[in-house]
Order: sequence, then C-alpha cells, then structure tokens
Amino acid sequence: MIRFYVLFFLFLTLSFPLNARADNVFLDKRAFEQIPVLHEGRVKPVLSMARGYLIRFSGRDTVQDLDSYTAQAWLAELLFTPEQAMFRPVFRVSLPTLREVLGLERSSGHLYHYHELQQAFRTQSDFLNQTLALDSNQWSNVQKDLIDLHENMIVFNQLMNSFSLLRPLNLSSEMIDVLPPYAQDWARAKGNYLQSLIFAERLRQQATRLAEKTTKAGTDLATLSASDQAVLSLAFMLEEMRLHGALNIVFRVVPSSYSRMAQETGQSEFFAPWALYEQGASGPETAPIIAEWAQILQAYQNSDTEKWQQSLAKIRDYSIHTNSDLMRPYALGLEWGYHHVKPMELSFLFCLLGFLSLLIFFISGRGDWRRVAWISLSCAVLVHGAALLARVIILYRPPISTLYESIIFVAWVAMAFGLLLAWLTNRQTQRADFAVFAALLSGVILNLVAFTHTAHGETMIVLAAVLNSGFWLATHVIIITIGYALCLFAAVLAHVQLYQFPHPAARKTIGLDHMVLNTTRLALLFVIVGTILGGIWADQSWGRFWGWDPKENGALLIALWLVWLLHARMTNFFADYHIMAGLAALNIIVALSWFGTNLLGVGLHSYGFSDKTLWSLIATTVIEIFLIGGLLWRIQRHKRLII
Amino acid sequence: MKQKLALKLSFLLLAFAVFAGAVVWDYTRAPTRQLEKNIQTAATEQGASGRKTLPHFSFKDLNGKSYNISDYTHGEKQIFINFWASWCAPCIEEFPIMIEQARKYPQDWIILAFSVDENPAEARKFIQRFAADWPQNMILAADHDKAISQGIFQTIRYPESYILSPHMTIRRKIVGMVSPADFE
Repeated sequence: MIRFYVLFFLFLTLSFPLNARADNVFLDKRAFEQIPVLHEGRVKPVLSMARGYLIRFSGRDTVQDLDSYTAQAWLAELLFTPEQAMFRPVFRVSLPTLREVLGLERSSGHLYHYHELQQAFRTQSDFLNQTLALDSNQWSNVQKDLIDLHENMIVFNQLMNSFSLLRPLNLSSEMIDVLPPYAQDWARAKGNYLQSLIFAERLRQQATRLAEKTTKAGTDLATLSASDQAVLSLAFMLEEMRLHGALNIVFRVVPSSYSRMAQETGQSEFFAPWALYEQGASGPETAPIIAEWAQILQAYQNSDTEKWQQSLAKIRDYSIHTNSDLMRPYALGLEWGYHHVKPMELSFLFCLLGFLSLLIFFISGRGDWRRVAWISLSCAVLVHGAALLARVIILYRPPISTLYESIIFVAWVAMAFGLLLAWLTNRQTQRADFAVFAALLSGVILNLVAFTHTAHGETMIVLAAVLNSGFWLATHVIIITIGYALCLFAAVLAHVQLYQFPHPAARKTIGLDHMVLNTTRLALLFVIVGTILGGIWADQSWGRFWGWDPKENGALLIALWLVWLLHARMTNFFADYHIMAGLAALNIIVALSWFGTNLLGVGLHSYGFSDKTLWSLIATTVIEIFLIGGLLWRIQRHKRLII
Repeated sequence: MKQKLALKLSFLLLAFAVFAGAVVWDYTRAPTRQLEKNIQTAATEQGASGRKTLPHFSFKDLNGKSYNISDYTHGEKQIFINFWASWCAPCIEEFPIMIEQARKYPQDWIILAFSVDENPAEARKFIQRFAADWPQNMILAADHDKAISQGIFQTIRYPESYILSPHMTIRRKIVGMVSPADFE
C-alpha cells in the first residue's frame, strides 16, 4: 500500500514538469507573475490577472499555438511586444452562427487571433452597431456572443496599449530625414510618446497651420512637401496615441498618492500608466516607477535577463510598500502559490483516486484499497481545507460569498464530515466504508460542479459591499451552507441505504440507518439555526425578519421536508425505505433551494439567470427521480427479502 | 471511550492546523525569498528618506536670471509651484488668483510659476497681457525643455500645481485651476 502511495505521489510530482509550458521567452516568470496589480477592486499578482483574462478570452489558461504559452507569458508578450501577441489565437468563437456572421473560417479549437477578428469586425460594423442600438434584453444568442467578443477585444486592445506611451516609435528613416530639427533627434534616438511631449505643442501648432492652409487652398495633402507630410503624419500618430491612451485604464500597476482621492483619504490609488498622466495622478514619486517600467519593456524586447529581474524587483518593492489598505504582501504571495498548486484540482484528484480505490475494494475485498481510499480522503480534506483557509486570507472575507465558494465549502464540509464520521465509528465496519464512500462521492461530484461555476474562469471575484460585511451574514451563510452539506451527505447515504435494502447483507449494516437519521437531525439543526440567523441579518439589513423571498422559502422547504420525514419515522407513518427515498430526494430539494431560487430572477437572493444552471438543474432532478424510482422499484421486487 | 474520541478529534484538528499553517507560511515566504536579494538592492538604492522629498534643482526666470530651489528651503515660507502655458485657457484665469494670493500672504508663500512654452517669446507675451505687475514673492520661471515639469514633477497636463513645505516635501498636488482656498 505504501508502495502504491509512493508511486502515486511520484506520478503527481512528475506530472507537474510535464505540464510545464514551453514559454518561448528568456524571462524569469516568477518575477513578473508577482507584480501587484489592481484588478476588479483587489490588488492581486499579475499571474491572477493573466489567468483570468486568458480563460475569459479562450476558455483555457494556456495559449495553444506553435509553442504552448502560459497565461503570464502571454500577458508579458501582449504588454511588451503586442505586434506578436495580436497574432496569437486566444479568442474563442464557439457559436457557429457567429463565425458565419463574421466570415471566419474553421480554426482549431474555434480560436482566432485579434488581427483577423479586427478585420472581421470592420466588415460587420453595421451588424455590431445595430446590436448596440438595441436594448440588451432584445439580443439574440449571436448578438450576446458578438458583444462579449467585442468587449473582450476592447480589453485586449487596452492591455496591448498599456505601455504604448513608453514604447519607442519606429519611424522610417525617410520620414526621420525630413522631420523638423526639433523632432529629428528624438526620432533618431527612437524616442517614445512621453519624450515627444517636449516638442508636442510646437508640432501641433505646425500641423494645425498646415492643415488649415491645405483646407483653405483646397489642395490635396499629397501635394504637400515631404517635410510637411512628415509633420502631419507624426502629429496625427501622436494624437491618435493620446486619444487611445486617454481611455486606457486596465493594467493598474502604478501606485500614486497624488490623485484627488488619494490626497483626501491618505490611501494610494493604483493607475494604468496612461491614466496616471491623463488623470493628473503622476508626480515625483511615480517617476522612478515609470522609468523602471520603461526598463522592463526594453529588457523584454532585448532579452536582457539581468535588467528584467532588477527592474521587476524594484517595481515590486515600490508597490508592496504602498500606503494602501488594498496592499497585503502576504496575501499576494499566498494567491501566487494558490494558482501554482491548484489545490481544488488536487482535491478532486484525491477524491477520484479514493473513490475508485473504494470501488475496487468493494469488488475485490482487498483491505489495501480501503486504506488507499481513507488516505486519499484525508489528503483531500486537508488540501481542500487549506485552500479554503487560503481563500479567506487572500480575499479577506468569509469563505462563502459566491455560488462557487458555496459549492467548494459544501464539498469540504461533506468530505470532512464523512471522514470524521468514519473515524468515530469502528473503522473496520461497512458503515465506516459507506461514510467514506459518501464523502468521496460528494467530493468528486461537488468539485466537478464547482469547476463549471467559475465566473469566466475567475474564482476570486470581489463582491458588492453588502455581501462582504456583517457578522450575522457571515455566520448565517456558513451555518446554512453546512446544513446544505449535511443534507447532501445524508442524501448520498440514503441512496446507499436504498441500494442495500434488497440484500440480505443489509441486516449487518443496520447501523447505516442510524447514521443517515443522525446526519439528518444534525442537518435540520443547522438549517433551522441558519435560517433564523438569516432572518436576524435580514431584519438588520432590510428591516424585516421574513419576506417570503424565494431563497427564504427554499430554506424553509428543506426544514419542512426534514421535519416531515423525521416525524414520519417517529410515528412509523411510512415504511423505512420510503423515508430513505424521501431523504435521497433531499438532493433535489437542496439543489432547488441552492441553485433553483437564483433562476427565478426575483427576490433579494437572485444572482441572475443562467441557461447552463437551468439545464444542469433539470438534468439533476430527472436523473435523481429515475435513480430513486429505480431503487424503489428494485426494493418492491425484492420485498420478501426485506420482510 | 470518550477520551479516545476526543484524542482522535484533537489529532485531526491539530493535523489540519499544522498543515494549513505550513501551507500559509510556505506560500507567503516563497516569493519573498526569491526576490529578497533584489528587493534589498532596490531598497538601498532608494535610500531611507521619504520618497516625497524632492531633489534640489536650479532654474531660470523668463529674463534668464538663474535661481536654485535651495534658496527658498531655509525660511518658513511654503513653496507653491505652478506649471502653466500661454496656450492653456485655465492658466489665463488662474494667474490673477495666484498674483492676488501672493500679495495677500507675502510672509507665508513663495510662488514659482513655470512656463512650459517651447518658445519663450510666447510666455513673455502672455505675461505682458495678463500679469504685467507681479509681487516680489512670485517668480515667473521658464521650463522650455520641460526638464522640471515633466522630468521631476511628471506633469503633462496644464495647469498643475504643487504645494511644498520649506523642507521640499510635497504637501499637496492641485490638478487644474487653483483657487484662493488652496492658499489658506
């Protein structure tokens, strides 16, 4: 057994280097990945932002091209050599009709690069404008995807131009030769936009005079001298850069204490380089930061490893010493580690391994496989729990604030409860095995569900303030979610019990019945306490204890369902297997209360409608009805054995 | 039996706490260790002084007379630095305000108004037209190559102003037109 586990860990260790991407860059990625950036209301490492955007654009966290690029290498390329990045296929257009509308040819993985999509949008600008003129409620699926794609391209464009003010302008030697003397030295030295500001006013005035003269005379610009044409071209180029830059706000990596808000609050704000200047937040303190970013840009383009590392270290140092409540260096490091270790994937792997091992044990009866299952579950509980703790530290809020977080929390509670239950009973009994089985199955299914409930691949989103504060809210949500987890665990055990009923061996596992009922009683306690705490919070926040909100009704439904079944059991109103069927159906009740109420689109707990969730919910309900119905039918067939 | 259960439970909790603690410690430590050397170098280069302390610089007024900012850093007066241009509309409006305030608080303020015009003649024309008579505690300086405005203060939009302490630390930055309240 020990040999098996050694081999498994060896496999895990080896699989990580196999996953390593062949980033076609010289650079030390760690230095770049750890740069703090303000994104979506939170200071996070660049790695998080890069992964978030790449998954949002392409649905995956690597760029599949001639080389396989990691998200962070892709973002570095996009920021520092955008002329290359715009030819990487990172935009997924999965809807065939949209591909048809945009005139896109078949492509591997339905991935397209920025340049070809830009061309496609130019030809379909009318369709885009018509869509934008409509109310978003009237958009068809194609139009929704079109707008999403367009928005993603705008973000891509912003990232691409984040450092355009520092990037050298490569003008042709013919143009440089005919430029006025005041611009020639700058052009020969491959100056950038910021440096051009020294003569910008003179250039603008000269270009304005030329344009007015040409307009008055009604002559064509082509008739102007080469020198005048060069002046107009350069002025136009710089003005276009300024206009683009004025809207550039995505890559917020420069901390500043000079903005109006920063001066009022005493807390530094983070700005994208263009916005820093455009919004008047630049100052003597930001000068060395901008100078270092210029060095980084140059180092990337010249593959200068030493300069790259030194400048990034300085930038990181400046940033982490910023006077801002948003800046928490330990949380940055933790988040960086979280993305590298991928604990949720690891937890899923442990659960899967344990589940398969337990199945093999049930079939073969060999004790070693049972031990593998136990150890796997223990590892899953530890890794998953550590991940939850890490998320609390990173996000600086209670562990359950989004649907995704509630799913991973429920998964951990179900796994940990199963392990505890198995540990506290006699480990050699079948009862303990079924507790481990239920824990592992819950872990596998809930981890899978969690993977499909990330917001564009981003699992650490910032919430509206109302959801981010309040002692009662935190305790209410945690307790009611533990209630959900216990209900699901009891439901899985009830399935096992239903399966066991027809077998004569079921008599030996009579204890399982108590395990299901005790779990149910505990679940009821948590659901009721959680609902009451929710009422207290609602009273403080919304001014009423109970408002017949769908989510409140959902929690009440679970409580009533449990009370009904437990009373039926006490009074022997139903046969045992009917009670077990009712408890197995808890899965449906919990799913409806947990996910279903969000789909109604009404009430204070509505998080928006999602087609995907609707179909998953319908599928879960149908499968459960058939499964429980099938198990009951099987019991009916073997009724004599039970009696 | 109960003791055994409690022991098992305690062991589980302890194992979890140790593991979680180790993970937290390792993850937070890793990047620091990686960049520690470079960060130390960066910190040394930056120096221990506050970042907002400005370097001393010299400049010329519109008539070509040389000055050094250190000439104004020994007294009690606050330093008001303003960047303006002859083609900037709000600058026309704020110039009388600065002159008025300089007159009102001669003992409290020294005002350095830097013209960023590339052509000094344009700046002189502006002064003749809008600020022909300015008080002693106001210096109309020139920054034709933007070495001070852009090089030190990172100003590219006008007007912008800074209020400095006599010790050359920045007290405030004002984006756009100044108002009398800024001098109080």
